[in-house]
Amino acid sequence: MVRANRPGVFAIGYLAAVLLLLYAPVVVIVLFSFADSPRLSLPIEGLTLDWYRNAFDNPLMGVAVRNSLILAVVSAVGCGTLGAAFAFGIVKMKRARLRGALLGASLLPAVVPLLVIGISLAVFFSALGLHQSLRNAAFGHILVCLPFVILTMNARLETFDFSVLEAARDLGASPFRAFRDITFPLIRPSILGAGLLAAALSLDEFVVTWFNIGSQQTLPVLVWGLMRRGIDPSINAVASVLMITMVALVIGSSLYGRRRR
Amino acid sequence: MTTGTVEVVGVQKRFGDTVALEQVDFTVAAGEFVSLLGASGCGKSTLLRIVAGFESPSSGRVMISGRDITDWPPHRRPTNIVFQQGALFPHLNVFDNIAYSLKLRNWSRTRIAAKVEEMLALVRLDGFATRGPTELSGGQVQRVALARALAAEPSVLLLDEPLSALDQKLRQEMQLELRGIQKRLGATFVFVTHDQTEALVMSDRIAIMDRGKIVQVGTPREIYKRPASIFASSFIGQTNLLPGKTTAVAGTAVTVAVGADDPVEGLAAAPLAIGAAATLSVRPEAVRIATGEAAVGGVPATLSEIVYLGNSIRIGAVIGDGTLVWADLRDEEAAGLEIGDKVRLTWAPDAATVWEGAER
Amino acid sequence: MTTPSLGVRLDGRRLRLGAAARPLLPAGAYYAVFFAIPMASLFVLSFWRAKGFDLVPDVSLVNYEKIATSPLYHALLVRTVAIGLITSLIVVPIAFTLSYLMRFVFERWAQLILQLALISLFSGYLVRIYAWRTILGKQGLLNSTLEWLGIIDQPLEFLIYSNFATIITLTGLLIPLAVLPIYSSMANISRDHLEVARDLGSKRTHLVRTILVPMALPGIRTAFAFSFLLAAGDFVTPSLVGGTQGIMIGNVIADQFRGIGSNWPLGGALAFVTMALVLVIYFAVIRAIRWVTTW
Repeated sequence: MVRANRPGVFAIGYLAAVLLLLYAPVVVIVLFSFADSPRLSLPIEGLTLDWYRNAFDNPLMGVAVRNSLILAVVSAVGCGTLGAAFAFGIVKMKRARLRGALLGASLLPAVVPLLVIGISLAVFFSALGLHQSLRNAAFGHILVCLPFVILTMNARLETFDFSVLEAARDLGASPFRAFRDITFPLIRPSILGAGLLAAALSLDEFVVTWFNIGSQQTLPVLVWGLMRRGIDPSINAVASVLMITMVALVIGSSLYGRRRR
Repeated sequence: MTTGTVEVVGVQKRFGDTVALEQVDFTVAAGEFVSLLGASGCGKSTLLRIVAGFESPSSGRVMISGRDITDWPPHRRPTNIVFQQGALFPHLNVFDNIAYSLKLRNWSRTRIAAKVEEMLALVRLDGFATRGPTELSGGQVQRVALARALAAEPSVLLLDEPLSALDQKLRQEMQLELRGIQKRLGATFVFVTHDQTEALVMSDRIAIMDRGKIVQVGTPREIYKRPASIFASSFIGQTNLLPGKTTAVAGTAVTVAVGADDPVEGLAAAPLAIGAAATLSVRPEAVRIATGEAAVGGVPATLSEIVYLGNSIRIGAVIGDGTLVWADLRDEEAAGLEIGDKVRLTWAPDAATVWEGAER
Repeated sequence: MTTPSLGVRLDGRRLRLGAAARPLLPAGAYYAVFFAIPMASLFVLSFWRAKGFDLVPDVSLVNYEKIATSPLYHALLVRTVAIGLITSLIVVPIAFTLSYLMRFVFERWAQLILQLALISLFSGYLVRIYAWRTILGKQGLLNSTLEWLGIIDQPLEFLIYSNFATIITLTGLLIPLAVLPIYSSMANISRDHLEVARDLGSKRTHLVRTILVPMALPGIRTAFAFSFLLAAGDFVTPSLVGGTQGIMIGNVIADQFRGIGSNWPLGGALAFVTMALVLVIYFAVIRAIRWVTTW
């Protein structure tokens, strides 16, 4: 029984059902972003690009795109450097217990509900007298992306052969030279991959942003506003664009980390 | 000239509560090829890494060429190391790998090129300069690693089991080649290995390590012929260990009752008292088998195994107390022997070493 | 410049630990400033009082008392925990079964399936919630299709703006997060383990209870933590698909910070009460799983 290797009907059906649950929303959004009628029901009668035109006619769109891109870049750079250093530090540790504890601690912000992180940052910034702004949101983005970056960097660095670092030191390189000549070129693809992941997470981040950005816009904040107002097919258009960008970043991220193995 | 000497004085190393090295004293003369031989976990790699500067000793000093370098970082030390897996920089080609230490020293480009060329010739890899590390075989990787370490012109070259990942045949080739290179350069090599044949083939001297201590240092011949401990005798080559009791002592010549109280002679490794529990070690190739009614002396035994090894035949015989003793015979010596035969096992007294006490 | 040292051991060792810890410092400092201190400030704030638009520093339990004595908050907390628990009790078994299939049946496709799960995670949080509104709506995809097929005459009302909608939406959001840890902890269960157990006469359900679940327990625990905490802490899903009857504690907390008549201290207190409650239940469930699976 256990060795039965050919997937049975149940197994295939189950897999299909789960994938349907995961991907039905994605398909629906993309499908209806091209659907002619504003009523979201089947059958679709005609195809149109009007919703995309509508979406980009929105005067807030330009600001939202700009802010989202700023946050994505800030998250990528911030998480890339902080996360790479942290992951590198723990991978090098010899004591497995300590390593596990530090990794676990670094993942805490991923387990605390975003709502709580969002409001705690709002309280913190207001106590410092820093008004809600894009800057405040950016600090929040780095915080919520960091655990995921550390997790992926850690997985990729686990296969890093530290004897090349020792070899460099042995051949006369100072710690700094060894990092510049050997370590950095070798882990650069992983850092870039993790940076892309952070960018994707940042583009998607809504909750922490919403509590800290004040009256500013990002794409998810804009989408949220439209959603609250009711059913508007141009949401599907914005969402599709956002989704494709994020998926591209994630695929890029996993390809980057995998190169040169 | 003292360039190339290594002196390890009273080095101890603890990792938390575990002691990796306890009180190691050890010297290497300039131009010597010394092997640190021991099972995994005996501390040999730790000792090498302390000399290289990757670990610092908990106490004790390390001197190279007469200078105390205990507190020097690895990149300042006149040592270079060849790692087990080569540790070539995967993003640099063969040329840049070998040139790395030279670039750090700001050598001119022409000088670097000439040195790399020379090193490639030394390890017989001419024409490989532009290859990437992934395009090399296991043996080639280790040759490049060797060339890279030697290019830095170390006073002492450290080798951390560099051949252990290679297959048997290639390993034997590389052993001779390494030995040849070392002789040609007249450099000091400290070679870590767990393979006793490798140590015997290559070294001027061997240091046997066991549980964080050096238990014997000597030439391969000394170590093979006169192991200083039961451990050393069983670690280097194969040996028969026969438990017994001393019955007569005359200087270093002792008589030990083994098997069913059968007296045999051997040389004591250290002074022994009469009536002490003892272990006698004798190599299979020193054991002879006498058959027939006329045979006298030696230890009575019953043949229980006959194994054909190609160039010799290995005979197993059980003596009075049930201990199995191996003897390696030439084909013609073994002619006519059958399992179940009653025989006598003999050896020259100086082929057997006797220690006080039982095996470990 | 002196480097702060994490070491408490004797001098020589301590210095080295400090050097090894240096790459951890930037991220560690970031977590301290932007995670630990804000959480601490929120906690301190939860003992303050709100007076109109002003915050009055205090050490009072007034907010906690309000929560403890208000039936409204009790009902909300119960619903929140119930929805979180139901969601995670759906999500974890689904993810467990999927991981099992990936590990032992679709071995060759496992990496692809894992990638697909990951990608769906990045197809947009808000967007995926919104999409369920499109699917489950009164005139949405599901109802209109069922009507078109003649299976129903009237739209099914319970599909949207209900706890059902909240749970199914959260389930879709959280499955990928639960699959990752469970699958990776199943990676070290070999076919041989199962074979041996069967050889020893283990029945299928028994096999799950005595071999698979205990061996995958670290992953299950992580998956349960993720799904329960995140489901119970979500406020976007209930506000988009849960309807007026479906609000959860998260909505109330959010309103204390970005709503009319906001009350930050009360919001903070609600957040900590919710988290404490969720943690207690989390540990109770984990203990129960362990009790059921080992003997």
